[in-house]
Amino acid sequence: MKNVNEARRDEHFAEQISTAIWHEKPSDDNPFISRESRCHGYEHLALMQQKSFAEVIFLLFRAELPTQDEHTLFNELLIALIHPGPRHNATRAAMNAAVSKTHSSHILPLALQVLGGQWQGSEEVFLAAKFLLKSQGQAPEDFTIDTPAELTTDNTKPELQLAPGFGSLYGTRDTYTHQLADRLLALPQAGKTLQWGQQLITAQANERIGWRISGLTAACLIDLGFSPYQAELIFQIASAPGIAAQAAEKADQPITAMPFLNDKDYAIKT
Amino acid sequence: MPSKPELHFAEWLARRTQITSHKGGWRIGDAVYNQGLSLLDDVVGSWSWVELLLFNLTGRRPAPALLKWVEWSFICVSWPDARIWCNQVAALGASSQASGVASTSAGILAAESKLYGPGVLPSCYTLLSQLVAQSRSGESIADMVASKQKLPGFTRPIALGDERVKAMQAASLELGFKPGEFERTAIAISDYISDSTGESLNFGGYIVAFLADQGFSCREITELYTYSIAVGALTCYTDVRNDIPGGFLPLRCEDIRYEGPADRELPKSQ
Repeated sequence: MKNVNEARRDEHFAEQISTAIWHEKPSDDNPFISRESRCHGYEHLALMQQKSFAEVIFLLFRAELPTQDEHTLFNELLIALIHPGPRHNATRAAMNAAVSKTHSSHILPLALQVLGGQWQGSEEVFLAAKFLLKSQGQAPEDFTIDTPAELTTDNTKPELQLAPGFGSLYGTRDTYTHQLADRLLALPQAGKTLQWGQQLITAQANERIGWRISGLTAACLIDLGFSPYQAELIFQIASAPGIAAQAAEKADQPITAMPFLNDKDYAIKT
Repeated sequence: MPSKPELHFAEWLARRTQITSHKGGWRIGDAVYNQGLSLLDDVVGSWSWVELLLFNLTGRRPAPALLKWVEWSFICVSWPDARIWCNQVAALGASSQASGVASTSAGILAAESKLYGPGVLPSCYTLLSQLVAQSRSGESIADMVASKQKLPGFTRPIALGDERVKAMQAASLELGFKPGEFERTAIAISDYISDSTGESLNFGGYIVAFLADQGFSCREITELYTYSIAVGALTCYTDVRNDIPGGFLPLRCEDIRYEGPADRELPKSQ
């Protein structure tokens, strides 16, 4: 192989970090202490007194406060996502760690790593958002069970997937997510992405295909102006409270408070 | 196609209370079985940790030369330099007085990147597989390069050239390995582009080429390097952990350049 000597590229790296989100103004007697903090120009203390948590999260990511309709949709979505449920793998990871006395500071990080997957997780939200942005200009009828590139049609597989965020859950339509979707679709701010997702499902002949929570999250957040990257992060933030509460409930319980299978239920096939 | 709803979730019902492992498990009072071996009787005292890692990932016990090659390749990515992004994450953890586990695992997560670290290996594998197929069909090197928009495995951040490739090529020779089809193709591409762009085969591209020639799949290669940066990250953690809290690259308020909106009042009617 021809020799290429190692040499630093002539790249210009920033000499300091820049941000348009948060402005800390130094105190007079210590340059490391802030005397005033502002979020996209609004004073932090004023936000504390006058705005909700949801409004300030929206401001952080979108650079402007939400309108009333945007606030309603965003706030209801955050509550829709507030608990993945005690059966979700991420919640169970948190409970398993808590009951086995894992350091408390590790609980949310480890659970959110589990939540980061492509099945019922934040990466599925990212992929669903990308799919929706790419596809919502097309007729929903174009995405059918016969679309081979987008759909698993193998009947030996118990799960159906039309596209990221759209398919079955444990073999059938996730009717609870559909209840959440019905509520969100009824809000004034429900936009063209949510409507398109609903039309996509309606266009399917297979009743096992429906909204997954990831697809619903992605559609709402695109309608609210979030990018796929931001949508994935919002999903993680919104899901954290329920996971954390479940872990805290288990933290003081004995290690026997969670199942540990007997040998007869642990088959070794090597 | 199944029509009754219960057929759609029968697969999950069968799995509710049992684990089936194809790797092994603990039979209390008997042994810890690991792919047919007793971990404590057959492995402890004779195998190295990396040997067990390779065996469990691939199901194959590595030849001594391959084992040494893998261990040396891990050393190549164990840099005690806290400017490297994943290592800086670990150092920041230390500066926040987070634990070594938290800081190192944060560094490992950071290294699953699209620009460097184990996160680039799948795209390197995909590209090299395509190039090998094109080479087999008689395409010229120029046509192969022209057909690609990106060449993962042939560039790296910060520097041109990659001394680790030279070090591992020398080690490979010493261990008795000869370049296979993937490595020969990678070298041919490297030689071609180094003349025109100054870029060359980087370490990720090299290890993928070498291990593909040894029969490793994309998934096996990627999983093998899961912990690969851990030594560097943990070393950077230990470098900082006894320093003063917050003492790693501390920033004054004014060290962050604010580029957002000017100070503004909250709207009255929101």
